[in-house]
Amino acid sequence: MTDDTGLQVFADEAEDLLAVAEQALLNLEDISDVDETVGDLFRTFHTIKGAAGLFGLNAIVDFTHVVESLLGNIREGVIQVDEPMITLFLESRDHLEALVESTLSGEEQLDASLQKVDDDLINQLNKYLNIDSLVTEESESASLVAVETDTDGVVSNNWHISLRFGPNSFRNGMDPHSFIDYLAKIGDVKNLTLIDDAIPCWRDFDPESCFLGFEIILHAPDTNKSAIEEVFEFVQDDCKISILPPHSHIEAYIKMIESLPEEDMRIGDILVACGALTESEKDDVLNAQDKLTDDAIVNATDQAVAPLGKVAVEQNVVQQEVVDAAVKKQNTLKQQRANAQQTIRVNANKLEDLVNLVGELVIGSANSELNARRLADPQLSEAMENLLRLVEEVRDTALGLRMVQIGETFNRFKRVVREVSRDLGKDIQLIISGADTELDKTLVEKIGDPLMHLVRNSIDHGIESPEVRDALGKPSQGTVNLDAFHESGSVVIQIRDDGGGLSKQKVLDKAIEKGLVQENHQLTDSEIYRLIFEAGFSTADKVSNLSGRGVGMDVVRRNIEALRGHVEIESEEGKGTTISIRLPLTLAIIDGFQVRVGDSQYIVPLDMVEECIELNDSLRGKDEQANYINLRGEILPFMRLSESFGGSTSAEKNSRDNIIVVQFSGTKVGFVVDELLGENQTVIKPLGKIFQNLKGISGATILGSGEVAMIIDIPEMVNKVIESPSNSNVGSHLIH
Amino acid sequence: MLRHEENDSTPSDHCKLVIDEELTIYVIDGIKEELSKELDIYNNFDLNLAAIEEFDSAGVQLLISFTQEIKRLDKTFTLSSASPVVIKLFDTYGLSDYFNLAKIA
Repeated sequence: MTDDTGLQVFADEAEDLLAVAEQALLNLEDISDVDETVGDLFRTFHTIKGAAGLFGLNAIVDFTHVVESLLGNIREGVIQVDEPMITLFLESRDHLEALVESTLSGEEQLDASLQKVDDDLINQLNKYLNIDSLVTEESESASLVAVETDTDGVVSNNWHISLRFGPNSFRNGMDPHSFIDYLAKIGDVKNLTLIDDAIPCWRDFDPESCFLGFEIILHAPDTNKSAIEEVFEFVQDDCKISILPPHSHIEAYIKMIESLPEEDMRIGDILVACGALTESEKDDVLNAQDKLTDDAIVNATDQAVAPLGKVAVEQNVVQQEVVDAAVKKQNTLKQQRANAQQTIRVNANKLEDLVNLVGELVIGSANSELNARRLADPQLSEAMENLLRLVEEVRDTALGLRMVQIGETFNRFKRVVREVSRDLGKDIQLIISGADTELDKTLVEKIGDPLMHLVRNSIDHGIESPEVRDALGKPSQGTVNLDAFHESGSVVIQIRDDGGGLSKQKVLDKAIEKGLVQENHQLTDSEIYRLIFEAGFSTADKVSNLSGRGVGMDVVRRNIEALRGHVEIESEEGKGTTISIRLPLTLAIIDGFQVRVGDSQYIVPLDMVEECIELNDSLRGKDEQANYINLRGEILPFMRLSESFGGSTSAEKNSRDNIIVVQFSGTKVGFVVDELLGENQTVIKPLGKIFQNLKGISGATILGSGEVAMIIDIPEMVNKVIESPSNSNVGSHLIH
Repeated sequence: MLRHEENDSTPSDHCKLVIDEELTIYVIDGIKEELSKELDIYNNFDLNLAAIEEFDSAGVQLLISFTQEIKRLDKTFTLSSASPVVIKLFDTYGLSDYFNLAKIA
């Protein structure tokens, strides 16, 4: 492996890890199990640091080290996570991403702007780390006058080390006093209390076994936990060691006390006696202890005890379901990790090639099938049948390889929502569902930007400010839902907000003002809403830096349509807006239904075909020219494809007409064709630039015979049928 | 090694004990055994550790346990003298008061 490919692997891994880190950081805000998440984060950054170290990427190592230190302190309970800190971590994560990118481009030195960000962030991170040491210095003098300066942690600015030596310590040549002597080298042992409670009574006492314990107060402001841990490295297997950093949380003391064999009251007194805790802190700790053991309800009015509710839950005492939820979450995380290990990285181009080849294979096999049918050899037909089935399976598997879950794309929006809503002073939660819905990787990549725009729009224009929401009697926290699901051969992505909704009148006024519609034009609701996707349309009263410049929605629509997708909008004024994006499952190969109109053959995506019927007089009714039929009591508008695509119908006046009924987003229409040719595996070939503006055609395919068949753009055609003037009455009934 | 002080002239329920050279994990078992025997006979103990050259935590632990037993049996125990190594370790462990070392010094 050359250095370059090694670097690429590092960058890929770092990218994955940073994605995980982002997720964890965002989770940090809303889960109760902070410890686990911080632990994960710590390991994630640590892994990046380690890998970067292998490649000698010092900039990354140095930066990650600071991040890691702060996370380490959080993990040990020295510092509490707060919102600005999470933001800082997120920024650090972004910066790391930039650092990784810059190393990929082979630059030895950071460029000036990166260096500045680097310095800035390190300064900010250090501030958190330094504040800690600052407090240490301050409270040294403060503790003299017995004033509590730090409400979060205990007053003591010293390390507390609790040791219980194992019975074999003496026999193994480990004498406690040698460790304590050594400890004196890294700090000042302020107090040492020997715990003799474990020594049995004289008759049962085995003098060769060690029953000693120690509570040690160590003043060592310049050291870190691992340095202290190193002192006890040799006995750690045989000895119970708890090391609490200065200003540890009361909860940390509770945990320690619980882990000790002596009675809680006794330990409490010892801790006070040796100066680890003040009298009132001890009471807090022991009160909390009582609460835990008595299985009592945490008294919310008792300030000192309030944060211990969390401990109570952790201790499996209060709410079983909370614990269950945490366990479940842990399991799914583990599961995800396990899944991640089962994947292999494949170059996207290789997959692309494979899918292209499969496409050729499909066309080739269609050709063979045609010839086999012509020869009418039973054995050949049977072999062909088998081959076709296999080709179909290969096709599905190959396309399946490119399928990815949309969840990752969705998760990116968590951060967008968090940041944008804060910028705007709004309180918005993002609810994601259907994150495991799969669709083609190309689609996932290309849908990101339009989705981003729509989500921002919802936050910016949709959701009102908390004050307005309060006044309207809505919950002050707005909600944006991102849903994905499969529906009849397509993937639907919905962005739903519970904001102000679209004002029909406002949209219409604006459209008239912009000259997009005539003043006296009658429009249906959905037609009005669709106007916002027109170029140059924006109803926002004020232009923010997020959206409102009127260059968004039309681009969104164009991008989605370029993916053979379709976007529609539903809204209720005052209640909210739902935007649905429909995308084909894949861009490469679909099951098609082949029909003939005139001399040409066309393909209708099979997923959209509802049924095929013969168009006879009983369906048509009396009016020969009517373009709707009565389909089992339903009004079904239809159109002759020959009208749109040309082709002589007069020559075949006497042959029977067939109608294929298609459904698209809840609307059914019929198309009259000359002949139904049956199913066909359709390899979609994009149309050249010249044909891009062709309405009603979304692509082309090559048939087994070598002929070209056009793929009908059903959404476009459905709209055309509904909007055709003679159908406007029928159409308006059909729109939901 | 535990022995009675020469010229022990104390009353019959009183004994003056001396431990020479070392009080460490290597000899601790024997010392405990002998101390147990003395415990059965006497009520008041006087222990001289002035000749101790090697002393370790096992020794400390034995002395603590012995003191506890003395208290339980309502007997008395005084440390009459201690060598520098003993004093130093007691000091490290914060046991000077416990064994009334100040009086010795």
